[in-house]
Amino acid sequence: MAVPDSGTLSMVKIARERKYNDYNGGQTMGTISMYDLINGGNTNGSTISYPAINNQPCNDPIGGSASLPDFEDAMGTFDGTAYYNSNIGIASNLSVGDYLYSNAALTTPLANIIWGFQIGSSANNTICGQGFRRSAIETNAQGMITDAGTCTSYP
Amino acid sequence: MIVKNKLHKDVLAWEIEIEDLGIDVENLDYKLQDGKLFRDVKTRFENNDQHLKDKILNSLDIDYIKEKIPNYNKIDIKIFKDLPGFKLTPHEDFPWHKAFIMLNLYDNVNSTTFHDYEKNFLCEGPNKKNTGIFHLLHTRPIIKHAIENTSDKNRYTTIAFIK
Repeated sequence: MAVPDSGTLSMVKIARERKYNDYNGGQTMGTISMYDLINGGNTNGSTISYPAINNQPCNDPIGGSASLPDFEDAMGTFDGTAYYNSNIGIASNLSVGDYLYSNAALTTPLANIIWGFQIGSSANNTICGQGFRRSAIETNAQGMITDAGTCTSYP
Repeated sequence: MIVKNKLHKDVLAWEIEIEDLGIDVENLDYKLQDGKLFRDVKTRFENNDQHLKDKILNSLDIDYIKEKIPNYNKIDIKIFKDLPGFKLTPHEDFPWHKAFIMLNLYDNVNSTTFHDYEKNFLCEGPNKKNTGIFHLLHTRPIIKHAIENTSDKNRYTTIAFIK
């Protein structure tokens, strides 16, 4: 079973779940380091080495990617198509907390964008409509949108 | 700083020239740029010697800058070494940047290029040591600028970001 949603949690049981997918098992776990449980391995003194955790964002694609063409960075470090999880829907649905990528496989985050923008059009793969641009888009080191910007008249 | 010809009828950029500053750019210490302007670009390096930056700032014609940009607040001097392959696609700069001065600290192969709204090439700045350009940003018609070091040599410049 998985770690229960409620009630008292047991560190040794969490360790069993991490190692054996067996929260209520009876395996001997020895010394358990919280660091190793979180990060995988046993470099911090655990008797058992724990598997690495999948650190991919929760909204990683299952269905596929959608494209955000003509996405640019104000200083010229990116000019091309950005991609996002197609589960988000049309481009105008993109908001803070969603992730942008520089590849269609959604494996390379479009990270640390300080002032990104996309020129609008009548197509639904642009965030704003014709005659506008979505500007001041910001992403963090994981490619997560931290500022979704605003639609402003352009050019 | 001597302001010379306008580069192109549609581009608010002028050629400039300065006296030699005696900076031995090839032998300065450089660190990878910090990402505050150029994200994860790995081909642009930066020297942070404040004495040199002050020297460059003092070589600029502040009265001319004030005349062109009366509301400017700050001038940030950067000293760059751009490795072969360094590239910034046509762009307009952050909206809080009002202008910039790019000066060649070396006889470079490539210089800043200027492009129209659709990124068509319009003109290129000078590339020789002690020459450069003064460019007013966010004007109309929309003008973009770009740079690519297509050579097999490092490119050395200083840029005064006028905000």
